[in-house]
Amino acid sequence: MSASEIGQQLINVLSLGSTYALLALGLALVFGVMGLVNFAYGELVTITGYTMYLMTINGVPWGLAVVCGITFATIASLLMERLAFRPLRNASFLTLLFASFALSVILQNVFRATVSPRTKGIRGPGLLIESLQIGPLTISWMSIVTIVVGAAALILLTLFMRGSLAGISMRAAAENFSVARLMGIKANRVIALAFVISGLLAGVAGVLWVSRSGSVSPAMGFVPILKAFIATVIGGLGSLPGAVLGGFVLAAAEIFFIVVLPTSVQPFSDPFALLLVIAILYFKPNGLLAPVAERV
Amino acid sequence: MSEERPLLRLDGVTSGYGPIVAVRDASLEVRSGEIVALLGANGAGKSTLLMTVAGLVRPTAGNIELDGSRIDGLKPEEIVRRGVALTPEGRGIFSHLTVADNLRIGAAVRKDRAQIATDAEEMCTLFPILGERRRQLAGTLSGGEQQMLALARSLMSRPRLMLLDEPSLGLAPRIVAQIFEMLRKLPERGVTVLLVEQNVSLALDIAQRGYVMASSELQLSGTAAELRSAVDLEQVYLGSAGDAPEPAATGGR
Amino acid sequence: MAVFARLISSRFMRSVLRTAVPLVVVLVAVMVVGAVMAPDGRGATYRLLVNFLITVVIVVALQMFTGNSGIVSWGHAAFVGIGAYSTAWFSVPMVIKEDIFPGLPAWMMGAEWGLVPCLLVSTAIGALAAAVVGLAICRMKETAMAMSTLGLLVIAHGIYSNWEGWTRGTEGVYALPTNTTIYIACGFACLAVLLAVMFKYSRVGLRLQASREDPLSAESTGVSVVRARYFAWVASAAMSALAGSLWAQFNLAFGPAQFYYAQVFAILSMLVIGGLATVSGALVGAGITTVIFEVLRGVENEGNLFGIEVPQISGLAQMILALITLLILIFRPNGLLAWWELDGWIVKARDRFWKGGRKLAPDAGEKGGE
Ligand SMILES: Nc1ncnc2c1ncn2[C@@H]1O[C@H](COP(=O)(O)OP(=O)(O)OP(=O)(O)O)[C@@H](O)[C@H]1O
Ligand SMILES: [Mg+2]
Repeated sequence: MSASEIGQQLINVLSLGSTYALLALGLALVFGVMGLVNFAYGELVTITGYTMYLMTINGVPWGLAVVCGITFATIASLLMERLAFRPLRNASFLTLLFASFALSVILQNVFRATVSPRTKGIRGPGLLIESLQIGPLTISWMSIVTIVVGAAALILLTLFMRGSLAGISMRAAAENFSVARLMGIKANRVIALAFVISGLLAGVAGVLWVSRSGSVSPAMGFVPILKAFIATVIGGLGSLPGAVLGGFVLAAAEIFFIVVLPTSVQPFSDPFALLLVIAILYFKPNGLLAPVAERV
Repeated sequence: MSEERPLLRLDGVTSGYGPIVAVRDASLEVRSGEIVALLGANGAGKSTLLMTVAGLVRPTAGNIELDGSRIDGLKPEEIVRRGVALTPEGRGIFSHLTVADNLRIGAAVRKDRAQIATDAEEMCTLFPILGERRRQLAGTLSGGEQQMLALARSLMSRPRLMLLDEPSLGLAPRIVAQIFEMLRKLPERGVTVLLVEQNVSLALDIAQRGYVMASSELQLSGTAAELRSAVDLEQVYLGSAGDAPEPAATGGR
Repeated sequence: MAVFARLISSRFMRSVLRTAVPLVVVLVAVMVVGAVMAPDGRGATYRLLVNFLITVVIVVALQMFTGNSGIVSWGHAAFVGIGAYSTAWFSVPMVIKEDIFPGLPAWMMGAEWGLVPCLLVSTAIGALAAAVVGLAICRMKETAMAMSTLGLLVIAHGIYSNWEGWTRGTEGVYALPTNTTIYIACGFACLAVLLAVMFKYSRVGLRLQASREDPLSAESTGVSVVRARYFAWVASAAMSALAGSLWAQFNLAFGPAQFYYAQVFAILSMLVIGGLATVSGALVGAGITTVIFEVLRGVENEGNLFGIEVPQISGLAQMILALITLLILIFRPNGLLAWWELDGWIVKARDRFWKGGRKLAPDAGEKGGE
């Protein structure tokens, strides 16, 4: 493989990885503060997608549709917390997981009933499908935008989590919820905040996801939640840097198998990547960057 | 003794975990400016009593008053806003946050930004080691340093009442002496202290009064001197060391 | 004979029988209804009842693992699929097999086995697959394990959909022989219930339940817990594969979509609605869910594959099931039966009837609930 091919694939890893990282972060944040792996998180991506779809087919400009898509995902995330998960505070991991799974199925069927059971195409700005030639590398604008947006979101989130009192409170609550409350951190507020940021991240990732795939469908949330779940677990569930690392590791594994597998076994590249991930977990059962302290 | 209103008053407080009663019918008072020791064997219910005051455990009966107003049933985040800071057993520092961020979280209930910064500076002079380790993750501190951080973090909320749960736990005597020297001076800063300790003589050195807890009940109280000379103090410790609280179903009254 | 008498009179066997007998009675009653209503083995009711009995095997198998260990598995639908596909490999007539499974080796091409060999080979293949996968999965933490079983489901789906020579990809498989009757389905449902109840009261089962309730073991999982988990995993996967084989020999045609997300959700819902902790819960959940689907099926059109109806879960039914599951989780988080098996509820109802209500003592195998 030539150097330029390697460079090309590295860019693919970066662009896919930053989408996964954003998705994983949103999942990990909520897990941190309330021990919930929110299976309905994928449906936030779907909500973004449908908002953008419904708006663009009605002639709303792309930029506005993007903003509304992200906003609706955020609101939906907050509503999920209020309606479904607040009654389940302090429930076990299993109960929370089942509840979010059920919520996910409810939402998928709502989409099916209200919009359409079929896959719908969605057209982004024409620029995204064009490419840029840099030396030997052909880089699509989609990749560039993804990497830039991903990097910007990661930087902003890091600044927020490290620099603001709200961010520090959230990290404190993730480490030890009761002691955080003893410090005066309001339980309801910190959990709501986690859901808001989680919704924002799902929205941003959703815009990237839909722009890349060019389509929306009721069950489309499954793949994003799957990737996010995998990424957070390999990174070490509960660790935010782990979620980012996990996202990039997963992307690298997927691209690696796409590159090395012969065409005849190409359809199995995702299963292979998953096997690799399970193998990683065999050697590091708590993930790559497992948080040391446990929740109380 | 003056007849002024106590800062903290527990009246017939019962609390525990589901069917387990860990504190039964506890009544005690802490007056402003005092250091009061709460002594007792393992499992006597001391930590539960402190957590009940701080709001982490809900009492099933009785009143808790802070400066005359009821605080039982409030959420922990509201109780700390009224000036009660619990330094939990095992310190409970946030090990993934830096020392500076731990201090900042300690002041989460306050709005006076400028004053918070000066207070943080002051903590670093009170405990110089914290100043040196400011940018370090709290999880990398030694046990003694973590205890200092936990105390400093509690002080950052400018509490009227500090509830300290075994600040000497697992620390070398030299460090313990240093910490207790600091605790002794807390009333000068306007902080009243309710101190849970295993180390009886140390606790009674700095406390004016004390209570002894055994089998979920407060069984003895008196001045530090009285408690020190009480013959049965030893017995309360040894005699009840194996006692566990009975489930409400069989032991309830 | 004396040994047998001793076994029957042992405390363990008494608990097992006390729990299993009412469940077996229910299953046999279902069978009798089916046999009386459709002596010729035809018709919608007959199909419904047989599919219900097979579903019981699937849900009880999952209860055996998730109910005792407290770890969710999304992967069990994959094992049902393994059972179904293995059955197809060994039972579809050779002429058709050459067409739909061109990848099969010659000795498998010629196999046109009957019910029992198919069940045996499917169970064995399922157990083998679970034994290999379990080596990696069983020592993980519960979160990682939950994710890995989801990964397993996706991997299996990827294989079923793309391994053209052995699975015919997304087009699906057809022409299996009809071997599963209501008697056979009922027999295996009873067997599954009996095995699951025995496991629940066995030493390994009790250890697994203890590990679920002990918060300390969540962090550091001891060797004995991993072993117990592994055993439960392999046994329940084998039982799932067996159910897959029974199902395939009754429904005759299927594709990869039959072992995926929607089915996993239906199975998990049954478990949650009835209650994870008990075998009776699995049965009750399966019953309630089947009824819901059946009622709502009238509202919607039926799923159809190669002219043969398959249990297709449609949107509305799925949504209502999900809603019920969510409400149960919020208002009755331990499921309808919570900690008591059916026999416990029968005793409770009897006591209430005779004595105007007396407090019910938890089962021998339970830790007293909440
Ligand atoms: N979260 C809990 N759930 C159930 N029981 C608890 C819980 N925490 C404490 N207990 C029980 O309540 C009783 C009192 O515990 P507590 O921690 O208050 O004792 P303590 O006096 O602080 O003991 P020590 O000196 O060992 O810290 C103990 O028997 C303990 O087992
Ligand atoms: Mg204690």
